[in-house]
Formats: sequence, structure tokens, C-alpha cells
Amino acid sequence: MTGGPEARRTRVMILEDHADFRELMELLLSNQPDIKLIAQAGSLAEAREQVARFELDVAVLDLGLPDGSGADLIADLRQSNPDVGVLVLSATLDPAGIEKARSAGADEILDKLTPVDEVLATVRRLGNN
Amino acid sequence: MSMQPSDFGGTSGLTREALRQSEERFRLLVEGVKDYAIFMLDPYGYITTWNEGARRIKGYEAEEIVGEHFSTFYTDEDVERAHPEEELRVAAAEGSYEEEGLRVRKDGSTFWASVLITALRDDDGELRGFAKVTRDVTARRQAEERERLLAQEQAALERTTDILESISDAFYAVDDGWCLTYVNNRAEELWGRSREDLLGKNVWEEFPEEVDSEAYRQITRAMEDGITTEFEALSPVSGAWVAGRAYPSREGLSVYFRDVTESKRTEEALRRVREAERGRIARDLHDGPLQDFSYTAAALGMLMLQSEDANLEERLQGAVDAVRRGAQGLREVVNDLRIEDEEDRPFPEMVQSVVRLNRTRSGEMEIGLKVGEEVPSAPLGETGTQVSRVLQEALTNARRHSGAKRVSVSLRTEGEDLLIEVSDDGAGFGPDVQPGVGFASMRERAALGGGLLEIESEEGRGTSVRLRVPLPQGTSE
Repeated sequence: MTGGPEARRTRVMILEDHADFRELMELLLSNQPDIKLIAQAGSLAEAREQVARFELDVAVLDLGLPDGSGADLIADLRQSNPDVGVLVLSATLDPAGIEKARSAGADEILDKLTPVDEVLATVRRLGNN
Repeated sequence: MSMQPSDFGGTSGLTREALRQSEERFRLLVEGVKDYAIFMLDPYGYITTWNEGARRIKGYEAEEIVGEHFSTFYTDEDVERAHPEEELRVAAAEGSYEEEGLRVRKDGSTFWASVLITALRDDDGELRGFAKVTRDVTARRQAEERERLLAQEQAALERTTDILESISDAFYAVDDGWCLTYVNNRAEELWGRSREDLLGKNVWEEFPEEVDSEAYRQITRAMEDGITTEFEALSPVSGAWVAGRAYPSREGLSVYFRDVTESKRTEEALRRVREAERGRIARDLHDGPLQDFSYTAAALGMLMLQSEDANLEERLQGAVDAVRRGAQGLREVVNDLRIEDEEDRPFPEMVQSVVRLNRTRSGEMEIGLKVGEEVPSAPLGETGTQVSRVLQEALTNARRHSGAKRVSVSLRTEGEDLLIEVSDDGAGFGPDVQPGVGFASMRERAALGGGLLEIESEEGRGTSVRLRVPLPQGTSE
């Protein structure tokens, strides 16, 4: 590892339209000393705007959004942040949606019901890659 | 004037001679008539003279029959009811008797005779006998009978035609060489062609665009296998949806069909409304309760992480588990409702995705999938959706009720049909068990896609659900 402690922190973005869930994730991530939540969005449009502005290590994406699927953001993400790790959280585990996310290049797909510590561990793992 | 006295006596002699000659000529005339039997009877009905016509019509020579009673010419029934005597009685009383009736020839054969009997009386009014004139009218009677039958047939034909023209179905008939022998009014309308233009022509040559259509397949099957078949298809000729039946007939085939475009449209609109409604419910459940459940599970998980109290943590775990179960149940519902979003997915992929989804839910139960090579790889549209739904329902039933360890799903094609079988090694059920709502909705869905559902089960021997559904046009091969 190089640089100061700032540089070592994993920079994370959350895309989630459920406000309470997003807040919860925010709380969870901001309590971690090695993680820095630098962007959050509630819609695909909002997220697209942010993607270009920030350098990201990990993006946590929800699939079912009011204006499309989180999977649609992956291509944009990779363009500005080629090495970004993508974690998709799926509420439905609907096979078509999951396949779409996988073929768009998601690194991990987790059930939204997965225990939070597991989600956290996955974010860390993707950030270290 | 010069007149010889002797002329008087001579005159009288000449008159007698003239009379004799006249009678002789008359006798020869009568004897020579060929088309009429003309003969005399004495007052009691015994034959006294015979002519050529009588010989030809009745078959007797003069020497055989003169002196015989004329009842010889009558049928046993007529003789029994004393009809010959009755004829003579009427003729004697009224001067003559006339009828048409059956008479018997010498060889026993019968013929239709027109008979006129005239009573002969002398100057004192004494009955001296009868003159009988008989003509063979068999040919005329037969012609009349033929005409009557012909008229009857014509009337029957007209009635049939009236029926065929008054029904609202289009109707046509072909002979065994596919030549049109009848085209009704409604068929003319639907085809936009006149019967004058079509009758006697080969139906497939007149409508080549129909060849290889679903209707064509069913109609030719009716002819080849001699069975009644049904069809429902978009007609390339009229551009309308038509539904009909083909019946084998003595001469070839009778085909009835009707325009069902309107009801098809209604059906399609209803289907869209239904699917839209399902989609809306799926979205509402997904965006609302399912997200809230996910949040709640995560929030409880967070509290657990922060909790220092082992007792509280345990209770929170119980709550987390309950919320997860609720979310999973809801997720199943949402995914079931969403199948129609996948109409355009390649069919085998769609089936695989249903099976995969069920594998994640099925715990101990193994689900095997076998897809025959000949199963179309293209999307099957609505048929694909209906098949997926039936498959989903069958797998849900197996998972919830059968207690099976293994379920196998197999797909193959047979001719123009797709066959799907889902069989498990579970508890099964006997004939007394009423199939549940799941089976009813499977049947309904199968019928929607024009399919046929069979369920075979025996207590302790598992359950097999078989669906046979016609492949959409242009997808088999």
C-alpha cells in the first residue's frame, strides 16, 4: 500500500432508490474507517451525473430503479473508472435481471437480504482488488 | 232416270255385302292394331276375341286365351277382392269403366295397364258382352316416377342449399381431388371470389397462399386420415383470423369456417389487460413491500451488529429470519407475475431460467432438465409465456405438496406440437383427490395457448404433468 491513510480508504458509491435503505448503507459504510462513501444517488440519471465526477473503487448498485436498471450504469462506470468493482444488490433475484447485470460486467451479485456484515466484506474485497 | 226393278233386290243384296265388307275391314283393323290390346268379353267375362296388340302386350296366342276368363290378367290380390267382376258390374251399370292398374302377363311379369271396358248392348238393351281396350303404360308410369323422384331430390337439394346459404358460417365442399363442388355465400364474401369463378377448380391452386398454413395442415389431415379436424389460424387469403372444422364426406370433404378476428382481438385485448395488471402488481410489490422488507432485514442486521446483548441479538435474529421469509415469499410472487416480460427471450433460455429460479427455492429437491435438440431455439412469444407459467405452477406444486426428492422436466417436440412433461417421485394422489387451484389454473393456461394438459398421479407413485401445445407457426423445424 502506498500514500497516506486517505489514499488507502476504499471510495464507494451507492445507487439505491429506497431512501431508508440508502441511509442505512450510508450509516453502515461511514462507520468503517477504511471506507469512504463519496457519492450516492437515488436514480440512474442522478448516478450518471456523479459517475463522471468522482474516482471510485466500488459501486454498490440496486437493479430496480425508477428510471431503469442499475445494470445500465455499469458501462458508464467502467468508462470513467475502468478498475471499479461493481457489487449488485438484487431484491428479486429475477433471473433475467441477474443475467443482464452479469453480462454487463457486475463483479458480484448479492441478494439484498444478505446479512450486512457479508455485504461489507464484499465491498472490502472488491475495493482491495 | 232409268231404273231396273231388279235393282231393288240387288240393292238390298249389295247393302248386306257392303256391310259384311265393312265389318271385315273393321275386324282386320282391330286385329292389326299393335299398341292396344282390343278384345271382347261375353257378359260373364270370358274372352271371345283377341288381337295382335293383346298378343304383344299380354303374351298369349288367341287359341290359348279365347274362352278363358279375363281375370287371368289380374294379380292375385285383385282376384281375391273380386276386382274383375266389380269392373264388369260398373261397366254394365254405367256404360263403361276406366282405370290404370297392375296387370299380369303370361310369363307372370306385371305391367302398368290403362284399361277401358265398354258394355255392349243390342237394340233391345240386352247386355251382349264387353269391349276391352288395354294399353301398356309402364314406360309412362316409370317416367312419371322418375320425375317425381327427381323433383323430390331437387327439393331436398334446394332445402340443403337454403340451409347452407342461411348459416353464418362460410362453407365449402371439395371432392377427393380437392376440386370445389360447393361454395356458399359467406365463403364467397370471406374469400372475395364468386362461386362461378371457383366451382370445379382445385382449392389449393386457387388459394396457393393457404398452402402450408395451419388451416391447410388440418384440412389435409382430415382428408388423409378421414377424421374431423379443427383449425384456428390467420388466413393469408382474407387477412382475417378464421376458426373452422373439416369433416370427411362421401365425396371428399366439407369445410365450415368463420371469421373470428373480432373475438380474437377481444381475447388479445383482454390478455394485454391481464398482463398489464400483473405487471403493475409485480412492480408495486417490488417497489414497495419487497424493498421495505429488504430494508427492514438490513436495518435489523445493523442493530444486531451494534448490539452488545446476546439475548437481544437472538431475538433480532428471529425477526430477521421472519422478514427474510416474508421477502422470499414476496419475491416468488413477483417473479411469477413477471414471466410475461420475457416473451421475446429465446425459449430454451426462458425454461432454463424458470428451472434455475425453482432450484434456488427448492432446498433438498433436485430438478433435472432435459431439452430435446429439436425444440425451437427462437422466442415463442405468448406460447412461451403460457408454457413457462404452467411449468412454474407444476414445479411449485411439486415443491409444496409432493415431498418429492427428484423432479424431472423434459421438453420435446412431436410433429407440430411441443410436449412438456414434469414428473416427480413424490407422494402422488389417488383418483379421489380433487385437484387444487394450481391444477385448475394450469389447465386454464394450457387452454389459453391452445394446449392440452394431462395429469397422471397415483398415491405413492408420484405425479406427472404433461402439456401438449401447438408450436406457433414458423417455429417448428
